[in-house]
Amino acid sequence: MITKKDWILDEDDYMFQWVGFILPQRQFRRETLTTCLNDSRVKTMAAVRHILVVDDSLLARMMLKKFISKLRPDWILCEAKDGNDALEKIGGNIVDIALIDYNMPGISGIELAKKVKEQFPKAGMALITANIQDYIINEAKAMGISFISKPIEEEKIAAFFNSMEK
Amino acid sequence: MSDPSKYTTGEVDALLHQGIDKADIGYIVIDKDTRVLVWNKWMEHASGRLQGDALNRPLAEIFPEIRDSRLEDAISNALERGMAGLLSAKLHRAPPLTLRRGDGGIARLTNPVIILRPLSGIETDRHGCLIQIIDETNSATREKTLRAQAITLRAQEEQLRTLFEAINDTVLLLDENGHIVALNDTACLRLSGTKPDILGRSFFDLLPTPNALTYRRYFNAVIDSRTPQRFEDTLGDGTYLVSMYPVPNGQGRIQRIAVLASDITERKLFEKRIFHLAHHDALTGLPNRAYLLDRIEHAINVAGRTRRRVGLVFLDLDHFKAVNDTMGHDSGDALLKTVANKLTSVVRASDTVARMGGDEFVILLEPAGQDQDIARMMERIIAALDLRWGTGADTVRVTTSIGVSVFPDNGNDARLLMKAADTAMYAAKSEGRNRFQFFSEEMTIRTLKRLHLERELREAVPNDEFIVHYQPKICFESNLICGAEALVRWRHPERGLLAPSEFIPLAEDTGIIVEIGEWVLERVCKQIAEWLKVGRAPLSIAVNVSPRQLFSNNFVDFVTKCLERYQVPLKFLQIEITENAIMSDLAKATLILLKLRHLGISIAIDDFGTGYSSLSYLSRLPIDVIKIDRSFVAGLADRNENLEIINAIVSLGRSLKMIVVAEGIETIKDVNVLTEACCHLGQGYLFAKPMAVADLEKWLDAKGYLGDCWGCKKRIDGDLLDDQGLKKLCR
Amino acid sequence: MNLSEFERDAICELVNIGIGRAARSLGKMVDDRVLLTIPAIELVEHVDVEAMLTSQTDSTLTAIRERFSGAFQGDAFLVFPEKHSLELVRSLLDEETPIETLTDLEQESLLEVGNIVLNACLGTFTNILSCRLDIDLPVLCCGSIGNILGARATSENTIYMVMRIDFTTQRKMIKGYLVFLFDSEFTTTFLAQIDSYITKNQ
Repeated sequence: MITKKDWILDEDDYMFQWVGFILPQRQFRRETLTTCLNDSRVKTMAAVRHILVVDDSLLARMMLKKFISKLRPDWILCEAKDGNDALEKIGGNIVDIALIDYNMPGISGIELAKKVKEQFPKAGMALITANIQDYIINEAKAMGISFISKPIEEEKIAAFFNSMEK
Repeated sequence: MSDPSKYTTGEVDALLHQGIDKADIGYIVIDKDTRVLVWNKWMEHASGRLQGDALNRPLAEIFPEIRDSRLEDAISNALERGMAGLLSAKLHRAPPLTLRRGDGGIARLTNPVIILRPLSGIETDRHGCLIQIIDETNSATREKTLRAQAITLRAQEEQLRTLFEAINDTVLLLDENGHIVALNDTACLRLSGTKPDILGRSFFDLLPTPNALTYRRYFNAVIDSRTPQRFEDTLGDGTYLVSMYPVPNGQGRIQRIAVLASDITERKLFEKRIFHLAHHDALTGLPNRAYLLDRIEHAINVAGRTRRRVGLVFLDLDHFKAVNDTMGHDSGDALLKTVANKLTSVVRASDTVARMGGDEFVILLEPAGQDQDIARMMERIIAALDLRWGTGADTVRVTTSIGVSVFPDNGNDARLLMKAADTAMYAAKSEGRNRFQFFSEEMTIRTLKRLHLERELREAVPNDEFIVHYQPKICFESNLICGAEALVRWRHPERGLLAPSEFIPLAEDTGIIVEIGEWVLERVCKQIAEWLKVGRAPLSIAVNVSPRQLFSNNFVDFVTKCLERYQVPLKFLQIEITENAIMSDLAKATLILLKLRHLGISIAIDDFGTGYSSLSYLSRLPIDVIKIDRSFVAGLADRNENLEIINAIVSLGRSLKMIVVAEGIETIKDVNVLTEACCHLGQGYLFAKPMAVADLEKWLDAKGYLGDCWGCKKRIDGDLLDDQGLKKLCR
Repeated sequence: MNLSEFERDAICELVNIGIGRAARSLGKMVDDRVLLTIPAIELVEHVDVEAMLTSQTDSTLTAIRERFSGAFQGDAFLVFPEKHSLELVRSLLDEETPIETLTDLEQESLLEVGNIVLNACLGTFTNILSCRLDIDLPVLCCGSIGNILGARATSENTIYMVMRIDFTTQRKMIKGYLVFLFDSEFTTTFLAQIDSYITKNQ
């Protein structure tokens, strides 16, 4: 996992990359970012994570968004409606944590997870799905991915986040 | 007013409870905490647990095995979600519920179906669940059996149907009126229609009228006789073997007729061809030996009844082997075909010409007339078969030798007649070929004699009955003795000393010659060795080798070993081969002679001038000595006609640097003529008869002019062909 | 009447979850992976139900129907082409002999399969929507999709909500689908439940 130290002191260019990821949401400009970094508020950003949510169900994404903003209000969320959408969106950005649905149009959640893992080997991931057949659970396990069964419930998400931070 | 006949609610409840209690299925009602509220008699009976024991106890206490089972899931579904459930024993390895008897045994409830129904209480939280247990064991068993039977029946039916369709023959099933009930694809094909078209139609309407009549006749016969019928029918180009079978309906009535028609067209053709192949010669198409024997037997039978004569004619082509050898087998085959055609055109229609194999033909004359009639026909055949075969220089004259036997004069069965005709044919051959010969009894006697002689001849070598005589050869120039020819004699135990002409031909024919030849060769070597041992100046001995011996596999080896065993110097041995022997297989002979010559053994060509050897071959052969045939020498002094030939042979021999020997010298005049002709050596009665060893030795001692002829010796001993010369020969 | 995008999405998710459970149960029973498609949800008129469900290849179908009532009312169907239902029974019962028609015994086991699968699905609905459903015993019906649906009393102009999801077992290639048909008057009830669920989770 990338620590604050890593990205502030060593990798200026890299820093701007993920800043670009934030900008559209927070309307930051490059100058304000520098100010921001020198600000004491940066300290609170130590807990900031970039979380990717991929689900073809709007409702599911909404629920996840709800729980994430409640459980981890500082995290930066990127949502995608399927695998290809997700791949497009993470291009050049950071993923610390990913919650991925299994059954989606296009590439499956497992395939997507593999691709995310290639780019971000340290990312913590959970397959979050209604399809609870053993073979899917086993596939997830084999990849070192957590498994969360639908329906999405706050407790399940909280437990996953807690396990990530241990 | 309440109707007194109407039961009160209490009465109905009582009846209901009793009804549940006496139901033929298991009834359990549980509350929301799975405690048992109702436990009917069936349950008591099945589980052995009495109502009092079961009531108010949680189900899992009574049946511990339902924990974590499908049944528990279903119960909780029913209680918590109001879902009805159904559990089939079939789906589970173990029955979902084991009913334990009070005595500890387990009820044989192998196939229970459990149905769960949620029950809602008056208060929402006072709901429950009805569990019904139905034992399906019996019906399951029955069903299993029925299904197994059904499967077997279906499999059998399928097999039969597959067979029915797979059969390449036409198969039809007709009803008693001849309407088609079932048919296979082949049948559709034959009747040129589709199944839906043909089914239900009258079979006989689908056939051409004449065939329909035949089928109808057999169809009626099947129905009347209730036995299968079988017949052959021709339809179009095909021949069919048709079988009709009655099919009883199980109550003994014939309701169906099965019709099977196998296409045997090919088989018929095949049979015809096989018959022809088995009975005819492939090359000429004439009847073969087996067929001929049949015909002879038949002819004899007929002739025996009608008191007629049957003639059996054996033909063998003269010099057929020469055609085969010099012109090739194709030419030989063509000749045989020509002969076959000629024979067939010469004989009468009632006669049979057969080929026995090789160049042997047999004609069965049926009927045969008197001897003179037969003789006239034989003359016609001999004339017809006097052929010039081949073209240009290769032309060979082909003639025929014929033997004739007649039924009943020479035998009364095929075997005897064949043997007699064969014997007669050999007689014709030995009479000089190109002629015919009727069989006579003497021939049999001669044959028997021959057989007897053969038997004796076979014993002769083991019995040590042969001796070797030696006839010296004299040099005309120096008058010295230059060697001798070894001549075998048979000391017959009864007939005394026999000359070679009396047994050599037979020995040649039977192959005994090889054995005799080897014996002679060995004897001669031994003799030379003895002479050397006692210090007598040895003679160079010429040994006659028959073609069979020459061409036998190990001849060269045998000679080598013989010389080695007796330690005889090579120069003392000479091999004599007849001109005809060499010419019979020139290539092979050349090879063997070269080997011998290479060893250092000199080679003489015997009976020179009688064969038809080509001079060019002669010059290439490794030959040291030419022996002029005695027929040229006999009467030389009186007639001049042979002188030319002798002069020619001598000058030929001399120009090829060969030594020329004249045989059969009987008068001093012969010697003069031959000396004049510059012949080198001579041999004959004038000088000495062939003599036994003792006599020879005495003769030599007496004559006293035993010595080396330097002129000849030089040729024989010294200037043998050098390697270069040999190479030239080889080329 | 039309489904909003949001409603459709929520129902889809609901069905997905239900099917996920059902697929697990089915997969365990046949010891195979069950591959699922994305659910199709439509509001259609009666005449169109058949058209939507008829697939060209399979004329004879076997279906297990469960009637549900309570918070909402309708029928749930587990549908197999006849061949596939036989194949399913074979793999369930370890039958070596080929079965060509269903006998009581096989019907019974197929009923239990339907019971398990449909209950898994319907149970999920009740859990998520926090409502109660009374689910009747499964019934087996055979024939064309028309025959199967014909078991329901229908009137011409009613609107049905049809939810269909197809599945295939990976090794044995047993195909089938699940259909939920709400009685027309309960379509609205169901949608109301969905709407409240959405609101709750927004």
